[in-house]
Amino acid sequence: MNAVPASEKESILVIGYGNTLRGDDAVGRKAAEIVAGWNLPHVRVLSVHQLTPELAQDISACDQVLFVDARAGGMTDTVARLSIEASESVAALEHSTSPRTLLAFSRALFGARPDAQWVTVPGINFELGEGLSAHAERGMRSAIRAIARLLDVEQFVFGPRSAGMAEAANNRGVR
Amino acid sequence: MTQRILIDPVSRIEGHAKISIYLDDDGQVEDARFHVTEFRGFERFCVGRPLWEMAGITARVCGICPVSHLIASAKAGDKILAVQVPPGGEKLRRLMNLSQIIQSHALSFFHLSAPDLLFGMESDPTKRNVFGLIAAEPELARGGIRLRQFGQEIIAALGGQKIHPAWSVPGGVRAPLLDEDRAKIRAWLPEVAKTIASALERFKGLLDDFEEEVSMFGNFPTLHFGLVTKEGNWEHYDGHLRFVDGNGNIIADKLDPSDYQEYIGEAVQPSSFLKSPYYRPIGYPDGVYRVGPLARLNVCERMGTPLADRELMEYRQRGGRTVNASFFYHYARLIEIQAAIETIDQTLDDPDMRNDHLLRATAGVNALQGVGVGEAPRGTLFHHYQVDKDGLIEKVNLVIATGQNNLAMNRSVAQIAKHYIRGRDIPEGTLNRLEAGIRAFDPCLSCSTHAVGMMPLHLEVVGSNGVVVNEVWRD
Repeated sequence: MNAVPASEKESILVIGYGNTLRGDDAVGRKAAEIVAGWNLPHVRVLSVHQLTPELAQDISACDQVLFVDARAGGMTDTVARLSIEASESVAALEHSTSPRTLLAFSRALFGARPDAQWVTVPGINFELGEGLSAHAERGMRSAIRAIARLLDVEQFVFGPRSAGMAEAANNRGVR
Repeated sequence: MTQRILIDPVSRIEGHAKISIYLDDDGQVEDARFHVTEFRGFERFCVGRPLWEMAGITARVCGICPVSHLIASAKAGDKILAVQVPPGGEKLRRLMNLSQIIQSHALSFFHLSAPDLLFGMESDPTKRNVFGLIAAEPELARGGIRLRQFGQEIIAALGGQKIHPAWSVPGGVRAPLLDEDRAKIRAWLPEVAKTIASALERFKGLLDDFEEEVSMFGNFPTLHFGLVTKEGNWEHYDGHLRFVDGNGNIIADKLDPSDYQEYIGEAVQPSSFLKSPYYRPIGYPDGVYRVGPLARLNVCERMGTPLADRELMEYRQRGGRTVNASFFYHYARLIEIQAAIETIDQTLDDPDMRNDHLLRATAGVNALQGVGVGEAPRGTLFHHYQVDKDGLIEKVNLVIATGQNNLAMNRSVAQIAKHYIRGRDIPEGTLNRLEAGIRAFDPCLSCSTHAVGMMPLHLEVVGSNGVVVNEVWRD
């Protein structure tokens, strides 16, 4: 792989989260670990069990944050990508929290307003056990493509031809 | 016929739970129950796994207190290997456990409970949350986050990651404390010492405003249970187990963790997946006991560090030698953070923790079962494993801290409900009091997926004919 010139990129934080002992709940973490393997100099990757309040400080240090998560989506195979903003509601902060609440926490505590995206991958099996279902595996591959596009590193990661194919795939499978 | 009020789920606790309140024909509270609706199936899940994987697996049971499982699991493994953990290994495990106590207590106090404490139980719910706290007390809120981060960073420095570090293993630990990490911790200590001193002063200043909550939030005599050192002081990692009664009398002492089934029974309630441990000599359900910060301060003579001992003395002047008011869990948490910070300060430079040659003893299977015990932030945690001759797990029993408080939490909810509820209408402040009564215990019912089960607060009043007569949703 060729290096991406760090000076041309903003700092980006990718947070994949989920419980690796709960089947498809791990998909966000596995996706994050793949992204970490790209070794992008402008991208910091965290793979965590759940979103905890102190992540607000990590978020405050970046220009863009990308959350990657599983969702209980039934048999739909669509990876969802949402632009999200800090929550305006007053949801209670718990031991773990949601991306929007975490963004609000980061804004309130540190004045941070990073651009934020939330990629969710549909899962069908959240029972105890390790490993993804075939359904979540397919979703993860779509999510990886979507993340590469969001990070503007498709050609770097997949090469020019694959990037074109990825775009077509994304047009079909990512909303 | 009995009416039932349902609060589902309880907010600002970890996991999924609900509260049911049963009214009699006159609309008076007859009873109340705290249910856990999330099934924990890890005990079966672990069967067939190699012993050496158990610390890493069970640490993934919970994203809230993974270190507690890691350490209890490794200690069960120590017993099965029948090894003596090298001093450096034990000291490093202690350091990590103290860090876990700090980070967990910091979240509970500063961000989950401080809004109630600073603004009052009846205050505007749109402001009574962490964002209201940040707006009103930004330094306190930031201090809490930094305190939690301090604990998390030590865990990450030792284990390589903040959550689920597979670092403590049967026989010891995998890696020492590096000099550069020790220097960072040392530099951070003055800040966290200041934060906890300030929080303690702040809490003590507020305590008089909560006289009613102190008397009504789970204030009844029960047994208290926890580890103490051989001198009877506060302990979090090893030592022996002690029960005291609600008057402070020691009723069982120097208990061997391996014999826990002789003094702890585990009842099952049909309405909850959470087991209900009880003190076996008294029986179920009267053998109620509490674990965690409140209990640990009740079973010990002293904290063992100067500032924490001074705070303990004042705590006992305010609450009595043996404190039965669950509201004091908050206060006890702060004193434990104080003790943890002082202990880290005292032990951080110990050369044993830098000796990467002797941190782990190795051996094969020398016993077919082992019990590991430690003090998790929420209380005493047991891991009991049975293995075959190759070290494959045949049976697992986990006695978790939150479960051991289950009977006391039920009683607390009933006490609060009986005091505040009259009839089917539940004012918001009363709802919050019920939740706050549970939050005092800081229960952790984790192991859930986060992708499912996220729901707003739901209160349901069911009439004697089974029809829902009142419903409240909180987004």
